[in-house]
Amino acid sequence: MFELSTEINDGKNVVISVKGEIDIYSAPDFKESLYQSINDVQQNIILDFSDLSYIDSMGLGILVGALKRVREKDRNITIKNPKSTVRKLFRITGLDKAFIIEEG
Amino acid sequence: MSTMDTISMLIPLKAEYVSIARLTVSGIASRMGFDIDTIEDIKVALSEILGKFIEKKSGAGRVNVDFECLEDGISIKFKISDQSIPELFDNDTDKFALAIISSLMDEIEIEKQGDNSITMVKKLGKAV
Repeated sequence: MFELSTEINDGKNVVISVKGEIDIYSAPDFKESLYQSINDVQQNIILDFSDLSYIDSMGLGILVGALKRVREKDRNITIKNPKSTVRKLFRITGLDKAFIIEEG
Repeated sequence: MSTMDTISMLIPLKAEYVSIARLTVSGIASRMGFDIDTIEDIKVALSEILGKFIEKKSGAGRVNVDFECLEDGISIKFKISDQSIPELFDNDTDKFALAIISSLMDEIEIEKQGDNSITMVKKLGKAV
């Protein structure tokens, strides 16, 4: 399962922290929660993945959908602090070139 | 490659059981001597296959998973109970799944003739 929490850290960015696991079981709820959070704000999105232990291809597909929605409004998504296992999946799928990824 | 031992599990094609398969393969791979990073790779690849089965064949019954412990690695074979293998990798998200599985595992074979199974292999000492 996963937990998602939203916090506006300044006028330009909204930090959405995702904790837990995104797999085929939790993906439908994750999609609904994430898209709702994105629709509710006008700022750039920072997805804090510090406590995200697992994401599968379905979760990555949801992130791509989120990125398309955000870019339609000239905003962007930054992935912050992904664990090495999660980062590896971004590299394998080439999504490390589509998303801004920040460490530390 | 000779098979030393085979462990089998038969699970419903439902999302809530994928985590049980992940835990199972984690235990088997750990016992075989795979390192933590490789165990994580195997868990991810297994979840991708099962996830695609569930997505494409939801309600189709159960999937049999054979974990074959080889001298030099692990072979994981998937067969579903209605004997048919669907097109698992035909849209954009599926291609993420295929890229992940192909990168993390050493071999993947989709057998649509005769056996109707998918087999993936990870060799010992080959972390990605």
